[in-house]
Amino acid sequence: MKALAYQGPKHVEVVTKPDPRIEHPGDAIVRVTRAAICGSDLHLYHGLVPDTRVGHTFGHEVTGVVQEVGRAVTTLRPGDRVVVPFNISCGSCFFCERGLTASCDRTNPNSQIVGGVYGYSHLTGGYDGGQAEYLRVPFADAGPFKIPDDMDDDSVLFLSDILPTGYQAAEMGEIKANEIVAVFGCGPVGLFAAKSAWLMGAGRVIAIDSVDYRLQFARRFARVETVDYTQVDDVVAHLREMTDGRGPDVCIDAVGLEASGSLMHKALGVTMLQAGAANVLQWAIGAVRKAGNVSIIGVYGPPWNLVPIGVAMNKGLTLRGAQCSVRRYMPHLLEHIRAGRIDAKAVISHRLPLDDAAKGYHMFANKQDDCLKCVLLPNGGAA
Amino acid sequence: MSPDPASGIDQDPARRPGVPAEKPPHSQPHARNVAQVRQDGRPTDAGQARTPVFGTAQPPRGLSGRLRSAAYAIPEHYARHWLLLILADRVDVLEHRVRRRPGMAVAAGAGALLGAVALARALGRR
Repeated sequence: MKALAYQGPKHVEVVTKPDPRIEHPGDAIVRVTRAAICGSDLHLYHGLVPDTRVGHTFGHEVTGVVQEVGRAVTTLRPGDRVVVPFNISCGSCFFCERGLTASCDRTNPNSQIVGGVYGYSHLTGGYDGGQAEYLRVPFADAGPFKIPDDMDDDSVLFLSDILPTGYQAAEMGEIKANEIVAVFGCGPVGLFAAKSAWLMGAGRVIAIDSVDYRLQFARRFARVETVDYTQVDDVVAHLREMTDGRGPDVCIDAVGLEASGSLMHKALGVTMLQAGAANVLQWAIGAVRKAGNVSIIGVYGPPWNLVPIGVAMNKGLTLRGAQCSVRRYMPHLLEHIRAGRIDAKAVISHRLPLDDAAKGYHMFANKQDDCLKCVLLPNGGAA
Repeated sequence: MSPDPASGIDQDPARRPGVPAEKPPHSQPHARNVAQVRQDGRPTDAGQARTPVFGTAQPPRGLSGRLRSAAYAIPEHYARHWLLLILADRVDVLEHRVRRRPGMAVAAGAGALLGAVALARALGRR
């Protein structure tokens, strides 16, 4: 099959690889119809995720058609259309029983930090991902969600990751009625976090970014107030001024380790071999009101991250962060999509054949051509 | 007034799927407590005990593979575990480039050797 393969930092190619095969009785093989490029894929692309091996296939946002099932699979049959959560989860361990499928104990032998993830380096188990023609799906009865016949793949693709991720980000902020929410980052996760903040009853939602086309889209799609942090002297002070001097009630970090905007963090990120820059988290902790909530959904990696934990402690903040446990959100968010409350596919800006994946990564990483979300079509389909 | 027409529909925490953060333990639909382990007792390529399912892509090889094995022998709550993995990533890329273009690797090696000899002679003259 054809598949994207990592060759080194900022270098991916489409190569020919053996088709995946059933390796455990609960596996299924899915023929991929849609595979999105995620903002967190850029951390892999830039070589910032430990144990990213040459030849690895990225891709954890996938819809497809079941091609083959292992002998222990009972709920899926060849021909079923599915959207696959980015978490690989068993459904029956200590964590899955509590709904925390991102922390599954049975799918990642390489780390205690997180459960298995498709196409996200050997740190998360070493599973090749879905930016390919076919994908091996372990524990196929526990993870994949059947796509209703009345829904198209584009409409449900983002149930795999970014929509539940944005929703969980807002949920972790424990938003109460009429609270003021600041969302750092106007990428797709930030946009869905902003939308979700409204669903949870926020009174004001303010989105912060530096890229003009993303700020414009955020105003249209999520109906938020926006701040271009490159146009203000001090984004923390600016947010306080916007909120009567108190600061937002909730700050959501939807950027993560590849934040720009701080020379100090960038320099230290290189010299201290930190996993990127934590300046957005610093802004969030600085801007939020005392006794407020900071929700961290942007991805950070080990080993070090400069975080003002002393400030957080003294202000009495609640910090919550997590990888999204996608499975528990899928039915609820499907209904929001079906009812028209969330137009998930509106964030798609580019559809490309798999052969153009390298071009897609370059465009997405450099924010060219107003790129917001790039979806690959490994087996053809409407472009 | 909120500009979003669906504002507040999930205001009640009871409507939010992730509240509370941990649900009371219950079996997920269609999950089964089946041991799907290859009972051969061997560790994974990363040197860890096998989980019921595991990835088999890109087994470690070469110098980078040895560095990865060394990294996985260090508990992950030590920074050197991660630093060694990052070093292995960089070595992996170099090894890959040498495999793809062995001629260039030989030329680069020869050039480095000549440069080292020239530098040693220059320092020796001083």
